[in-house]
Amino acid sequence: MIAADFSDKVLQLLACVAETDEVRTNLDLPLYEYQVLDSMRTVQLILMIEEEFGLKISPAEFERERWRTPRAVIADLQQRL
Amino acid sequence: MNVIERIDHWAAVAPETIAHISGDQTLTYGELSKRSDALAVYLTERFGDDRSPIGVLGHREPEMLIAFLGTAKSGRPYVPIDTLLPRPRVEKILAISRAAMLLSAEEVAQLSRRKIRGRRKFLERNAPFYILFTSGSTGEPKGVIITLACLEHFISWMLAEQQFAERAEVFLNQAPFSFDLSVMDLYCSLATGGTLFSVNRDLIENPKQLYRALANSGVTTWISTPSFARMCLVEQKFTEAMLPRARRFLFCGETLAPQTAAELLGRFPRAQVWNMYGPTEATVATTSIRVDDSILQKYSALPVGRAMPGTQILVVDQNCHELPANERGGIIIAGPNVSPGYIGRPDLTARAFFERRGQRAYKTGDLARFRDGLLFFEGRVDEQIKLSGYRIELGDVEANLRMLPAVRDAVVIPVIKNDTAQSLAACVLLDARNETSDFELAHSLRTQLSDRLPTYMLPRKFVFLDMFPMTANGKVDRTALARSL
Repeated sequence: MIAADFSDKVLQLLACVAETDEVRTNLDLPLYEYQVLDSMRTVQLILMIEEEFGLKISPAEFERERWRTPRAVIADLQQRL
Repeated sequence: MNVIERIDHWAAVAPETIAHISGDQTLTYGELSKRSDALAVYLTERFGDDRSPIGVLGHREPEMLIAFLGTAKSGRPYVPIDTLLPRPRVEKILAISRAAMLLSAEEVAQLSRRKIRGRRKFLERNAPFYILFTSGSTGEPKGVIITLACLEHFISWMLAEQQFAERAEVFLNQAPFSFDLSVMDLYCSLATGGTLFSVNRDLIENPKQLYRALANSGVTTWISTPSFARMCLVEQKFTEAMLPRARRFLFCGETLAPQTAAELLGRFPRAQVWNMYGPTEATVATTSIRVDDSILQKYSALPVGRAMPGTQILVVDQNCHELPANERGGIIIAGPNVSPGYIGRPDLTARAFFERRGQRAYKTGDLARFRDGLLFFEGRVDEQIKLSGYRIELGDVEANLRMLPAVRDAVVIPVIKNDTAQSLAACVLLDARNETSDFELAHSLRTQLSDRLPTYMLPRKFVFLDMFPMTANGKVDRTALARSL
């Protein structure tokens, strides 16, 4: 079980990049389908995650499928940590 | 030699040299020349003396280059239109430009394969060469006419200043052909027998493939918006090791942050970084400066440099009187690179263009000041903004929003972070509010708006209000709205 504050923090970063709080309430929101995330914003989020958690993600090795929804983003980051 | 003759020259001396790479498609100079001739003959046969513009609809296909040159060789201007544009916007562009036809990449592929005998060229220096549409403040796009003479002036300057090696350069093409930054890479490449390497939409959406493609590209001259380079810099492997031949990074279209320039110089020690400035109305770029360590140390906001030879930049007050150095004013550009005006809009043309001492001049609406003989860009006088290099009139987005059935009124505000517009926010008054959530409603408005406007012009955030805050003199208080976001 992962601490709730980790998920909260991830969602907070996601909401900041996406400029909508919907990502915090609807964890199954298809991020790319709804154009909540795009290439630029994905990269912004990668940078913020590095700053916040010290976790380096290489855009050259990144696949969208792993961040399909807010829930998927949290799961992917938990795994990476 | 004019630019078309230069391209045909490369086709004669090096027909097998690759002119364009886009995805898995390639085009040689020999094919480009022969097939654009065939298209020119077709257009001449079909339209005779009617020199109306030809719309060209596509993305980064090699056929786009064939269409541009074929249209030009037939003595007609081309109007590049990206497939991203929604159909109603395309129709508007065709109507405003009174285009004789719209050529798709598929049609060009067929028409340019016809066998032809003999050919005549119809190039005139002062005739329109291309027409580029940009956002207009009332919701109608406006078409900037660029003549062969304008283009020649710009290209000659670029070639003289940059000294590109002939038949040895690979130019990065990041900007869509409907955006005039692409004119820089396209014609600098073709004029010097270089190879144009396009990054298409699929690559931009798939970073993994993008970096792989860049690593295999052999790019020597990088031309992009600063936003695109910033995105690439997030990848730590984006260094000289990935692009070992990169020698130049040329930026135009939006403000170049000193951090971006410094980081590039650090990661690409053998490359130069250049900052450039210019509106579409003055053919891509009018000023330039090489950004090196001394410039970075001296200035916290980067200068955009000095004007090209033969062209003047004036910083003026509201009465069009030239201001002394260090004072902020509006930028006027006067010289042979200035457009004749907007197609079909003598009213807009008269408002922004005039003659000055025998030269064509354009009031840019940009603010700047001269310091140490260098121009420093400082924003706009009006509601025009740049978003990832795209030029957007806020009034254009507002006018299109107001045309949606549920919307009574709308004001669009740029969301600014670190002094840069990051996205658009729409403040909307609705006719009636139903039960759906704000998010659903925003999504629905965004989807409806995407039938009218390209994706880069769509607001990200929607705020639903009962009324707009007003200023003392009865105008919508945009500053208050911006603060409330």
